[in-house]
Amino acid sequence: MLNQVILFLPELFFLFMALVLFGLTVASGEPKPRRDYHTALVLSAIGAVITLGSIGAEGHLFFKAYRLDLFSQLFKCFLGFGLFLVICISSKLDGIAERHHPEFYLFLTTSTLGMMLLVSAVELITLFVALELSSYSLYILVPMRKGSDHDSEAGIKFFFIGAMASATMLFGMSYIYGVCHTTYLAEIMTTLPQLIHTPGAVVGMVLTLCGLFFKLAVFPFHNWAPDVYEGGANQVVAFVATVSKMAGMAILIRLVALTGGDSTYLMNVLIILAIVGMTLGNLVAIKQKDFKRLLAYSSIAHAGYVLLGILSMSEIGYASVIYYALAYLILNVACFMVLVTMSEKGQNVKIDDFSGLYKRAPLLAVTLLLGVFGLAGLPPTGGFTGKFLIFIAAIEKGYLWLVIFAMVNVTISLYYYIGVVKAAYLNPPAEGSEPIRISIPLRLLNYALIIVILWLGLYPSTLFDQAKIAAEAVLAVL
Amino acid sequence: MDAFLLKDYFFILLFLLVGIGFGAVPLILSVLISPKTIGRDTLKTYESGMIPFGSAWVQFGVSYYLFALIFLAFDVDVLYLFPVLLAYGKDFVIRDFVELCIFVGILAFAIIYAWRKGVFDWKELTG
Repeated sequence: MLNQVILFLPELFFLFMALVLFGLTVASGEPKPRRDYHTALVLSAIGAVITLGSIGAEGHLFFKAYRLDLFSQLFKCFLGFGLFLVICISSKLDGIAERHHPEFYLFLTTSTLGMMLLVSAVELITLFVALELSSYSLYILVPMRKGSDHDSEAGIKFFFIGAMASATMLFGMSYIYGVCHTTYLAEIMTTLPQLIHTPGAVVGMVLTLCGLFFKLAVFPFHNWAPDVYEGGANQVVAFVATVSKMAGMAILIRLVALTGGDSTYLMNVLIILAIVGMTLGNLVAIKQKDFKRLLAYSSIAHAGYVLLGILSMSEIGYASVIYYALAYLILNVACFMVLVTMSEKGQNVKIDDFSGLYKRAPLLAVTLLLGVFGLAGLPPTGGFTGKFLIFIAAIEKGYLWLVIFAMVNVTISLYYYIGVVKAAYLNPPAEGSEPIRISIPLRLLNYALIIVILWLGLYPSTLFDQAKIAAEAVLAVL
Repeated sequence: MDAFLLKDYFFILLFLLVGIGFGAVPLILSVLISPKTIGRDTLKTYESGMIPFGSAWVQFGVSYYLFALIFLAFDVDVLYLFPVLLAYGKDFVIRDFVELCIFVGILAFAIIYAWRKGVFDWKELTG
C-alpha cells in the first residue's frame, strides 16, 4: 500500500497543489497576486523536484491501467519542470485579471496533472479521461485573458476543434476495441500488429491519432493554433506551446508503438500529414507580423518534423522524438520568456517590437537568438541536435527523400526565424524606447536556459542514452 | 482484400443504406402527404403544441442561466453514480465507499466554488 503511494507520489503531489490553489481561489478578501504567485512557484518547484526523484520508479497501479516506466517518468519530469518554468515567467501576469490569478495557476496544475496521468496511462479509457482533463483545463485558460476581443474567439475555436478531435478519437478507439476486444494497450500490442493491414484497424488507429494531432497542431487539426496563440494570454500560450505539446508527443509515441511498425497505410497517412504540415506551417509563417502567430505556424511545422521521427517507428526514432520534445520545450520557453518580458502590459508582441533589443536588453537578445536559432535548427543549440537525431532515424529507415524534403523546409523556415533575429540585432531601437529592466531571478532563469540550450546541443549523449532506454520501455509495454 | 473482408464491409454498406433510408423516407413521405394549403397557423412557431404568445426577443435573467448551468452539471454527474451501483461491493466494499466519497467530495468543491463566487446570490434585474 505504502509502496503504491510512493509510486503515485508525483501525481498525488500535483493533486495536493491543485487543492491548495483551489483554496486560494475561494479565499476571501482582496486579490493578492504576489501571494498566489509565490505559492504556485514554491509548490511547482517542489513538484518538479519530486518528479525528478521519481525517475527510477517502475511498476503498475490501478488494475494495470497505469504504468510507471522510464518513459513515463522521464516525461513526468519534463512536464513538472515545464510547469515550473511557465510559472517562473508568470511573475508579471498582466494579461489576466488579478482576481483570476489563482484560477490561472489552478488550471495550469490540473492540466499538468492530466498530462502526467496521460503519459502513464496504458489503457484506452484512462488515456481518454486523462487527455480530457488536460484539455478541459486549457479550454478554460485560453479565454481567461482580460480586455481583449480575440480571447473569446480563440477560446471558442479551441473548444470546438478540441471537442471535434476528442469525438473523433473516441470513435477511433471504439474501432480499436472492436478489432482487438480489449482496452489494455499491452493486449492491443499483441493483437494489433497482425490486424494492422485490415482497413478497420487502420481507420481506428488513424481516427484515434486525430485526438493527438489536435494537441500537437498537426496539419488537419492545426487551425486553432494561430488564433489561440494570438488570443490567449502570453503565459497561457507559453504553456500550450510547450508542456501541452510535449504530452501530445509522448502519447503519440505510445500509440504508434502499438502498431508494431510495419503498416504501410498508417505510414502513408503520417508521411502526407508530415509533408503538408511542414510546408504549410513554414510558408504561412513567413507572412506573420505577430511573434506569437509566427510561433504558432512554426509549431505546426515542428509537428511535421516530430511526425518524421515517429514514422521511423524504430527505437532510435522514438528516442530522438523524446530528445526533440525536451529541446522544443526549452527553446519555446526561452522565446516566450523574452516575449513575456518584452510585453509590458501583457499585450502581444510584434516582430518589429524586437527592434534594437540588443541595446535595450543584451541578455534577452542572446536568449532570443539561441531560442530562435534552436527552433530553426542551427548548431550549437538543442534544436539542431534534436532535428539531426530525427533525420538520422528517418534515413536509417530509408526515408531519404522525406528527409531532403524536410531539409528544404528547414531552409525555408530560416528566413522568418532570421527575420526575428535581424529585428533584435540589426534594427535600431524605436524612438523613446528604454532599456528593459531584468530582475535577478529572471536573469538567473536566462542563464539557466542558455546553458541548457547549449548543453542539449553539445552533449546529447547522456540524455539520448536515457531516451533510448525509455523508448525500449515503450516498445516492451508488456 | 479477400472475400471474407468484402462480406464484412458489405454489411457496413447495408447499414449505411438503411441509415440513409431512415433519414430520407420520413422527409419524402411528409412532402408527399402533407397538406399543401397555407393558412394563418401554418408558419407559426411550433413548440410542443402550445400556442406561442409575445416575442422571443426579451431579456432573460442571467442569474437564472447560471443556476440552470450548475443544475445541469450536477444532473449529469448523478448519472455517473449509476454504474457505481452495479459494481459496488463486488469485492472490496470499503475501497468502493472511499472512492465514492472522493468522487462526491470533488463534486462538492464545485459547489463551494460557485457559492464563494456568489452564484447563489440572486441578483435582481434592474431596469
